[in-house]
Amino acid sequence: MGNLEKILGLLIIWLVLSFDSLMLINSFSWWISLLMFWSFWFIFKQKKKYFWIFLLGLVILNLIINDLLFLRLDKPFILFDWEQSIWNYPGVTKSIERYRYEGLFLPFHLRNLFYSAYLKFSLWLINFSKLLSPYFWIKAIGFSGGWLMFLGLADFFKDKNRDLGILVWFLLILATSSWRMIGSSEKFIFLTLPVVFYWIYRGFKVNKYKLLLAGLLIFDLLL
Amino acid sequence: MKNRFWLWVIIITLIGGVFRMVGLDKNPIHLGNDEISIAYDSYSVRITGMDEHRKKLPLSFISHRDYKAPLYAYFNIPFNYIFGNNEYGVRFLSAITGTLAIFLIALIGKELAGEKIGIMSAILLALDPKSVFVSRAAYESNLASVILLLGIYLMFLYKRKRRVLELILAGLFFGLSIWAYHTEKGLVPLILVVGWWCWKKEVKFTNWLPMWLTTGLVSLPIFYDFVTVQMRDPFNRASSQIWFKTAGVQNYWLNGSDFWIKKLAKILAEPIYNYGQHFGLDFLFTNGMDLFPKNEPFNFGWFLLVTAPFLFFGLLNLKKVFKEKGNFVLLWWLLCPLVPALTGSPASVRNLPFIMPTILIMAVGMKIILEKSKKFFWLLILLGLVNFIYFGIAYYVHFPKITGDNYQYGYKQAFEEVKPLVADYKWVVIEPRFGEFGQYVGLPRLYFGYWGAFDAWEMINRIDTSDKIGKYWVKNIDWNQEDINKETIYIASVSNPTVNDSIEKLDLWKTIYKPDGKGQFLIYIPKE
Repeated sequence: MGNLEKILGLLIIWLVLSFDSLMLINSFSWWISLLMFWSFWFIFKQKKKYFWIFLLGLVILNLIINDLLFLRLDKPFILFDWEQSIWNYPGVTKSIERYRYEGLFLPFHLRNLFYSAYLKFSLWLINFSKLLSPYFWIKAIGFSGGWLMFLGLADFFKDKNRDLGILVWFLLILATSSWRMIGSSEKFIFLTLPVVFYWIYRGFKVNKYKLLLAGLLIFDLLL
Repeated sequence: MKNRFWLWVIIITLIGGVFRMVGLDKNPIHLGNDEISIAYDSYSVRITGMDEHRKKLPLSFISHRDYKAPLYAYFNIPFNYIFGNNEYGVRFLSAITGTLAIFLIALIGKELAGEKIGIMSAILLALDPKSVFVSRAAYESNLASVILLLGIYLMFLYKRKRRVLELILAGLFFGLSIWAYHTEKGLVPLILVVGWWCWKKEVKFTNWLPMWLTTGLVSLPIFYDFVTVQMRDPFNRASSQIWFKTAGVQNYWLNGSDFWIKKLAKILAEPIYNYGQHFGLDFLFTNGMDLFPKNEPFNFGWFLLVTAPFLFFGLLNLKKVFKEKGNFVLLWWLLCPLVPALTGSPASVRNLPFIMPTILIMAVGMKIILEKSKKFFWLLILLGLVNFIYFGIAYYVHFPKITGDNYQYGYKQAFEEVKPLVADYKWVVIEPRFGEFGQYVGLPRLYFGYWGAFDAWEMINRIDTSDKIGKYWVKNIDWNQEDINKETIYIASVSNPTVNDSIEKLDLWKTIYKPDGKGQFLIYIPKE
């Protein structure tokens, strides 16, 4: 692939992502956007030894972006919004109590087994599975972006030297975003953008159906 | 092994049958909107030869202008005769069909890749939440998807045996599936084309002709009826279900502020999003069933969550296990959501044929996992059972408690309450509105007719467009306008209690409560 094509590819990717996600950069604090771009560089230059620290930082940042965690460094202050999270969302605890009451015919210990706080975990599963679904990503990054990401992912999994840290990053962000009950899809995926960008780029390199891609891109632009 | 295969399949089918057939009168909690239409039409045709709209042996039942596919109502006639006018008299057909599907999928699995796949497919279908759910209510789409499955099985048989008999029978069942539900009108032709395309090297084009001709001949009356209905009643509900005719899309097209090209692109993108939804992990494994409202901790996908790895490994190994038939199964799977995606609400019962190829793909994954790691396999089986127990608790215990309005709960109970009183009064006025705020409109005419308030001939012979049938009169009640006398009982929506003078003249005799404890209907009788 020549340089011109690479530049063109990057331009396309930029366009594809700009529909929703890159627009978002404006709506976040400058330091978050900066951190995100720095993290993109980190994909290539990461040192395995410190990767877990980086991931921990990402998780904290993701919780802040999703308005679940509030940090103030000047006057030390940490607050987690339990009410907006699946762990203590109003109504969920009530629902579990209602189930427990409706299950009165069961012996006490069985009711404790079936209707306990761990049921809240299923809400996380619902959110997480939604964020992992293809149509969610197509809505987020358009048909052309979705197509390239699909190709990139396939290429990524075929690659024996693939860096699974990238996948962990992607899943970790989605997993922590899923803690929030109701929120904006853009915020949920914002910190995955470097990884998505990387997969889209890989997809662009292996894409053989240039006409299809062009068609999808035009369709996305119309949307 | 051969005998053991049949033994296993029979045992699994029986177990699956228990989940589908026991307590049909209790769960779902009440006959739903579509169920009562089918039930009543089936009963009416049995007694009078006509549906409630006086159409003699119709090719589509007008119902509430949705022109229901006719096969369920006709096939249900013997069950209605045996069980009478009750829940079993309309739901049993769906339950028995859903149970037979377990047996059938085992045969298909065996035909595709041997007995192991057959047994695994049967287990997966027997314990599939969506299949259990739809088999317990009178859904035409359930009957249609099983008939379609039979057609596909016969197609596979033909491929092996090359006898015309199988081809003709396949054509017959493909045609009948079109008689059974609207989705199949689009899906069956696609499956026929895919069948030819996948095996074009082995089976000559002309060899398929007996099947195509039979399908065409059998389904011709239905297509003819479909065209005449569109001409006679262009604004029927069935045609308004197509996505670009839905109110939201029409409003956007006519009043949206976007440039027309953008509007067009957005409208065209809608079915693509709909299509994609059917392959969403949330739809498949965590909340596609919509058993409970959003944000409730008990929710389930069309398939048990634990089966997700089976689908993943199944897709990866489809060709390895199914060989040349793998392409057909994959395309079958991919095609199923196409027609439902063209409608406004894709994730409903319209895509039931989708269950079958998914189960077959999962069986492949199950087999692969068993071969690679027995420990992991048994762990998944154990988790699967736990998963199913949770589904069982959610569906059999909690689901009936919260779905009163969805199933128009209360008409049967109200009828049973007033039945002993009717002889002493001239009229029973029933309000079609129901729900906490009277926000829904029900079909009391059909419910009361089905439960025996009047016979089918009285319904047929009612005065045109009148909702006065025998002693029963369906109308909205305005207490300020109502001429209250000593000869009328009222069944009013809980949202419409008596006011002013009516309070003085009527006694609240009974309140019909929904299973969640909220009121549904108020029964008033004249004061002494």
